This record gives sequence, structure tokens and C-alpha cells, in this order.
Amino acid sequence: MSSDKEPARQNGIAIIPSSARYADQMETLTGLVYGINPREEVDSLNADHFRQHLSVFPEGQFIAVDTDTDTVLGLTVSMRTHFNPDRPTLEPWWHVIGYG
Amino acid sequence: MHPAYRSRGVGGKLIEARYDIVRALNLRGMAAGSLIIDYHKVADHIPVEKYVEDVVAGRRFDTNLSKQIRKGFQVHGLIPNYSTDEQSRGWGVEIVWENPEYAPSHRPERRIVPRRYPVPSRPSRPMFVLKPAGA
Repeated sequence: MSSDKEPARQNGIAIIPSSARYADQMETLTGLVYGINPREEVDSLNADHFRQHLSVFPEGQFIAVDTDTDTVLGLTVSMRTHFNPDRPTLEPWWHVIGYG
Repeated sequence: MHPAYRSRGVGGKLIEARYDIVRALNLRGMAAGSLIIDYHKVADHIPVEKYVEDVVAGRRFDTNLSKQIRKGFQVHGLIPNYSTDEQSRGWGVEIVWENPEYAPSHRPERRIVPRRYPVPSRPSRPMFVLKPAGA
């Protein structure tokens, strides 16, 4: 799961809740999408961050998986927080998530 | 999304899955920082405020933000120094989706049952007319 090439078999894609066993694939996909090494970037989530995040916020995390190959093709990360829609958010992403 | 699987509606399904969670937990809505990943193409001659205004009005297509707006997000403002993403020139766009079913008097569910959201591997029709193929 580290190539731009489409896997040969792709009969189905499912959106499922993330789980820790996919954390390494999520890190790989993050690196592929942003063209970075998540282990070296200060504001990118790596596999350890994903596992930690899932333990704190088990709900609201989803991945898109190729059901034939069990390959992660997409991901989304959420957290539950107090939010005032009348007050603008002016913080960098890395501050918002408490530095991972 | 994996680059080979973009523009197939899978990203939209990921957003819908989160909408379902927000509804199930009776939360007010969802806020996110959106990266304007096509801004770098015009950043040298268009201010970011104008760029986002054009995307919101539908006069300009941003591969990321335009899709989120089509899924129901509304732009609330700009966030400087949001990330180190060069394509967005560091800008984030604060986007908010308000849960129309939010009921303040209802207690949120404590537990929800995970469910699968099957999506077709190929869309029956294009969801968007992509202009510049970006990230």
C-alpha cells in the first residue's frame, strides 16, 4: 500500500470504523497522500498517534478499505470537543489536537 | 484518499459516516479545518480571501474545499498558519456542518453499534466535473 498504482483487484470498498490494527496502513497512506514521511513531520499523524487517538476517541474514526485486499484507501480522523460556532477558530491544527 | 481512488465518491461516504455519528450522538455539528489544496496555483496573484470567496460562490473549484461545501459544510472563516501544507500556503478554512437533528434536551447515546458503509468501487456517474486534477 505504498504505491500510486491501483491494486489489481478492487471489487468492493467499504467504509468501516478505524481500528488499531490498521494504524500502520493509515500512516503509510498519510505519507502517500501528502508526499511526506509522517515519522519526520511535526504536524502529521503517524501510526502511534492514530493508535493513541483511537483509544481516546473510539467513535467518529473511519477508514475506506478495499474489501478484497484489506487495504486502507482513505481515512478520516475526528475528535469530540466543545465548539462555539460564534467564535472563530484561529489555532493551528497541531495545537487543536494537543500535539498528537 | 489514495490518489488512485479519488473522485469516486468514497471521500463523500467518509463524510456521511461522520454525519451519522454526529446524529447518533446528538451532537451540535462538525467543525473542520479544510486545506485549500489548489490555492498554490494562483496564490501569487489572488488573495486567499478572494480565492475562498470564489470557491464558496462556485466560481472556482478547489479539489478539497469545493467537495466539502457540496457535502453541506459552510465556510466560517480563515485560519492562518493552520498547517505546513505548501499547497494551501499554510492556510486553513474553518468549515462547519450543523446537525439539523440536534435536540439540546436529548441525552446523547452512550454507545453506538459500528456499521459498515458499502460503497461502489466505481461510481455510476461522475460526482464532480474536475477541472485541474490536483492532489
